[in-house]
Amino acid sequence: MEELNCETVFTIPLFGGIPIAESVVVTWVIMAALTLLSIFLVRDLKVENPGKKQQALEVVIGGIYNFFDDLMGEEGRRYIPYLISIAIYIGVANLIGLAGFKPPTKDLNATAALALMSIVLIEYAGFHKKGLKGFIKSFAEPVAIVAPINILELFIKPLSLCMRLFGNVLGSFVVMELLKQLIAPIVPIPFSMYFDIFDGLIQAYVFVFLTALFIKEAVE
Amino acid sequence: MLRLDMNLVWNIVNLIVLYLLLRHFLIKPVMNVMNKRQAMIDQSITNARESETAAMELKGQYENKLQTSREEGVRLVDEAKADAKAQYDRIVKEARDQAGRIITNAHKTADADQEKAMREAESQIAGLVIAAAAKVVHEEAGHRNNQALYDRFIAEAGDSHDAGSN
Repeated sequence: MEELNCETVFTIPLFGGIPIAESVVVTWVIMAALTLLSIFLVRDLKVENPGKKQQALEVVIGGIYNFFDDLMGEEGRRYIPYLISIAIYIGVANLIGLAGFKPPTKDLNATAALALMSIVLIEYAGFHKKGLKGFIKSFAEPVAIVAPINILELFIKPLSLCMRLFGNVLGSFVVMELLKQLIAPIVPIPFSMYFDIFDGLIQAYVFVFLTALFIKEAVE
Repeated sequence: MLRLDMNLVWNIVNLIVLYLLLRHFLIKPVMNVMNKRQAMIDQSITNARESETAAMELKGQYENKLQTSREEGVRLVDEAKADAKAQYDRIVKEARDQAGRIITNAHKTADADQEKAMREAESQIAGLVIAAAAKVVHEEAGHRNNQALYDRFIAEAGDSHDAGSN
């Protein structure tokens, strides 16, 4: 049971003690690593005759950018950088178990934070596009009678996003731990391929895909 | 396991900071470079298209000029031909007129000469006849009938001369 819990790493002795969970610390590590990697990767970018490193970088970033661009179009273009960041973060967070860290997405706080950010962004996108009046009106679409359902969606969307990610990561973590205890070396490797790598990346994809879809819906 | 506490807030802060960091260090530079390249490519394409248009325009102009000069050449040759023909006609006509004049003059001169010669011959013949007749009349009949004979002879001689010349 110890592996399932996200421990409090340390407590800041302020205001009667602020606990800092493992997920937050691991996220700091991820942030530091990603930032350093970014700084290293974007060094001497060239407009003409890009090197192999730059070409690979452009293929990846450009590919993700175009994916979101196709999905959301002109109106959603300003939210693409956030979605790219989240995609990279969730992908790395889900895979970081391979490096011996506890995945931050195994902590409900982390996935809840992601889902909360997503719903705020989605509603902000709608608000930004339609203005206050149009934003409030959009709850009564397509007919006024569905307004309660639309309002309910405000909570359902982030809850489903949050729980899907959390459940998948936790589930695959539990399955992997059980397998490791049952049948020792070698055999868990193909399972690890699926549960740790494939499922982690799929969940990252699903999360940003759904967020982008909701944003597109909101700005339509 | 299922706990929600202050760490939710820290995670949100983390996400925002991570977003700002990645946007500043990763996405902006890469997209900048890609946009710049795209702009450069667009610029090149625009330039190429402009050059092509200009070249086509020049080509049209040259073709136009060529056509014009060809027409001009044809026109010049035609004009020269027409001029030459007019000149030729004029010269030939003048020559013909002059020749006609000369021939007419020659005819007139010849006619005049002929008439003159005939008149001379006539008078000479008349003189001869008078002399011959005088001689005959002197010898045979004397001077009585001289005048009548003379006139008759002249008339007959003139008739026979006219019949001969015709």
